[in-house]
Amino acid sequence: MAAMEITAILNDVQNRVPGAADRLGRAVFEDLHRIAGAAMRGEQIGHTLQPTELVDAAFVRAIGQREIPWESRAHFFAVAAQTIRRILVDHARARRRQKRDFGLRVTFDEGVAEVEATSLDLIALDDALQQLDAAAPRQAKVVELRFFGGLEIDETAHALGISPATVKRDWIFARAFLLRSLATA
Amino acid sequence: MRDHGLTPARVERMQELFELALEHPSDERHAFIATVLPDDAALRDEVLGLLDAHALVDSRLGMPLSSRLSGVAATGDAWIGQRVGSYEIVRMIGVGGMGAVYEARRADEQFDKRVAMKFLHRHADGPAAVRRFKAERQILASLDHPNIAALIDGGITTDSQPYFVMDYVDGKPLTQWCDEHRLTIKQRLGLFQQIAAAVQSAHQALVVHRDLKPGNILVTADGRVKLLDFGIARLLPAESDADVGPSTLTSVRSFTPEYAAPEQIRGEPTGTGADVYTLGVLLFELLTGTRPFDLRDHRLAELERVVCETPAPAPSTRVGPERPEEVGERSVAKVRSQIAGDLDAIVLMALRKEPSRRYGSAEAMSRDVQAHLDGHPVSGRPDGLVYRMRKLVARRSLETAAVTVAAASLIAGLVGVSLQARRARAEEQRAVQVTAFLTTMLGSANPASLGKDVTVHEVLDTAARRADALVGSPALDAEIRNVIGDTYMALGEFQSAEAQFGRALAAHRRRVPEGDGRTARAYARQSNALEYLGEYAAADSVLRLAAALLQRHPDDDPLHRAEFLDQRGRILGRLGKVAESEPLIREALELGLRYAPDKDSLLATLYGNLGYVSLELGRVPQSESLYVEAVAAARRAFGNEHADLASLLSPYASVLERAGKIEQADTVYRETLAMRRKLLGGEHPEYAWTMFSYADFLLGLGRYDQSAKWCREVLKLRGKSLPDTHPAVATAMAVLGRSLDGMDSLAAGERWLRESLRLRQQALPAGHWLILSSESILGGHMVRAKRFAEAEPLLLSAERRLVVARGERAPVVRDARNRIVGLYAAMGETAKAAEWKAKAMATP
Repeated sequence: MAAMEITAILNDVQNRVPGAADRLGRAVFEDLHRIAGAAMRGEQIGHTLQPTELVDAAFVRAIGQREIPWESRAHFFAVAAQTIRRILVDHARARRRQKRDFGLRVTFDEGVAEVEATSLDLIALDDALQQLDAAAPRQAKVVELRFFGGLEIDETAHALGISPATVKRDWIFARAFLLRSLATA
Repeated sequence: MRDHGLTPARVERMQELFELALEHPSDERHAFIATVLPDDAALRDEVLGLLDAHALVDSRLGMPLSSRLSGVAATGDAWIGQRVGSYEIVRMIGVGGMGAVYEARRADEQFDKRVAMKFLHRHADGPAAVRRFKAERQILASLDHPNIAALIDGGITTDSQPYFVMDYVDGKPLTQWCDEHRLTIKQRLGLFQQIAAAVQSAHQALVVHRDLKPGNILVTADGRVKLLDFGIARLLPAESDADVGPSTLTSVRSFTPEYAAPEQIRGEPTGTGADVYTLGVLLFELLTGTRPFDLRDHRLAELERVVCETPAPAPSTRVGPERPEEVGERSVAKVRSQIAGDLDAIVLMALRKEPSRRYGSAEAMSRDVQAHLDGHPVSGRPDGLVYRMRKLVARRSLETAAVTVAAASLIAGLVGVSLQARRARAEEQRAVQVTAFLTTMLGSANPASLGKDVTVHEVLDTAARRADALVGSPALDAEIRNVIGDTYMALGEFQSAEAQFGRALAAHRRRVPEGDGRTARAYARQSNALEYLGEYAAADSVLRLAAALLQRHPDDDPLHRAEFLDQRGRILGRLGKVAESEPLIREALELGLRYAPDKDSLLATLYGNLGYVSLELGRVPQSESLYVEAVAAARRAFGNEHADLASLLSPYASVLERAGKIEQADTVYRETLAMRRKLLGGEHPEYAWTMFSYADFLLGLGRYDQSAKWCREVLKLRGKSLPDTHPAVATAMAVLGRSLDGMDSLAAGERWLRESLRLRQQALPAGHWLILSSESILGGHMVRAKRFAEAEPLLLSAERRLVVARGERAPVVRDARNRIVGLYAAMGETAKAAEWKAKAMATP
């Protein structure tokens, strides 16, 4: 996907042109898939895969090193987050089908020091996220953007059109909600 | 987690309770939930589950779960001589609500570094608190500002006691320092600005203090402010403060009530707005030596009522008899006069109950303090913007019987602004990045909330500064300038708007040097701003550039064309070229009726403008029916009580008057007066316009005493809301002079007429038709006073020049001619009188 083309689609996304988000999703999906595949094939058991790194890699490939407004970046990451979630969850399901008894490991990265990696079951997480989405779509979206897209509080706020304070609150709440679901699943 | 029954409402309730519980110490949260949810066991279990999960999330942030901190009852002295981390504790400095503070020195380095160590009280810690503590201290350690005592380190002792290491500050508490040095008001403002700068810097790092008070603001010997304990409050989710008194479920928080914002007292989530409030309390105290609310004798429940409901007093009203000496002034009155006005306004803005209505930032507040020091207007005045906008708009307008009608072109412009803003919104939807830019940068700067939000300016200024970085992408640069400019327009900041449109044009030149359709629209915007600035000639020539470009790059949107035609027509009308103006506005109206037949606000404008030029062309019946349409459209668009409707009713009344429908005119005048008084208040310049229009109408009816009464009402506002340069002043004087003449108070009448002429000569360029009209009116007075020798040259010369300035058919020309008829009739020169009568009759 040529960088110029992605940029044009991004413009459409920001302009809320109907269907633009889907086009962007399709456009970046291929790239993301390739990158993710490579990353996961080379993965050791227990290796921590950061979805954020995936998106960053896709972003650099799609846009190149040119500077684009950070708002565009937020929109890109918002769409990419959705894609990443799909890729990772599909991948995890595929692996489960292969009856390999380990899931991908991903971290809840708060961006704060002293974070210790802990593993999560992606499929269960995805199920819980869908459950949350049914009753509290905004909170679910915050998780998707922050967790799968690696967006910062402000970027998430921008992409969703809500305040950073709301993002923070939703993030804390949704995190607890999801972990509770995971713990009782 | 139960799958069934998980409705949006239920999840919302869960989140609400979950967040409320988090406001409590970790070991009280379960009890809190049990208290508020005694009956709903299912919901209670769910929220408790969430809280457990939350603790689990926290536990994943690094520390093993095992270590519950033991409540070691350490007495202060036990620490002295101890080594904690790489620090050796020297002495105890003091004990506060949060913990004990010691002086210590770094033990493992050659140089002798003094530090302050703070140990937290025991009872509120727990694994979650410790984890948060460790995470947060990283953020706090990054706070780097000369006015903030840096957090150097922090940790947990081997027996699980959390502690902080901070810069050791050798200073005195803020208020003590001020009093000991008898700082003047100005010096105190300087200290305040240091505090605000520190707070701003922390806010930018997303750290809120939440417990600012003189006790943790120290001033060093060289006069530098140092803020202590920044962010500590947030490390301590639920320390009870010794000053608070008995703890209840909702009130146990780490703050000092006398400096706490209403939302803190209520236990709501707090942000930077709480610190802005506290800055307001501090400034209040720096100025007056007292705090806005005396909470000493209040119980907790009352405390909330006082802080959350009682409006804060203005600091200037709280200057006690001892204050002059403390601030190096001679009298209470002197101190008061320094505080009243700007400083009152600044403090009260910071002390507003709703965080969103306070200053948007500590910096904004500090900037207002600076503006006060520099003698510039401050933004914190109530309704300052609305007032300034109205004043600016009013300054644009023209004069009498014709003056009232000139007010029509005024509304045209006003509505024109909202049209511009609408167009801005449409373009904004196309201009991709601008949308995002607007959402983020302009946020609350919605032109619809005109003037209510003073921080709009700050946002716009920031936006303009940010746009400076966009030179590399001229198209984006131009779009953003347009949007910022449109917003300034809507705020009545025409000068700033014009500057932004100029920048947009420069950007367009970089983009397409020879210009295109978008360049043309940028010219149109600039012209509009110039029109509001009263620079009609400049507005006209800029608009001609736009017209030339549009010849080559036609705009397909018929409504854009209509607006452009209306704009050109308006400018020509303002330049007195009414005959050229009329066909343009007529075409605009035809386009509007054809392509936007239901857009009543647009149609109201266009009908009104065409009504205005029609009247100027002497076509009274036509003008009347156009105004009937305009008023009807305005009522459909805005309802029966609206500023824009009033702006159309006012000229409508004078058209009715000219059509001889006196009773109808009287009714419409009264409706306009009542509406404006209600909408704008009795001192508003636009209300003043309506008052003297009515006065002029009454004058025409020979109801001189009534007329004089309304004129005097207008002139009461002279020097208040109406500066002498305001055309309403001179015009009201002219009408008053004629009313007095009518009551045979000739000497008094002449004084007002001459004063009116003098003001106009001062305010207007030589030869302006209003000056000529004044001369003619003065001539009319001379006739009445039987000073025919003075009257004749004055009247004849004024008439001659008025014809040149306004054309044969202008109402002012007819008035001037009628005065000449009166002159010759009074002199008994019947032939000349008849000749002029015929001339006057030719004017409708």
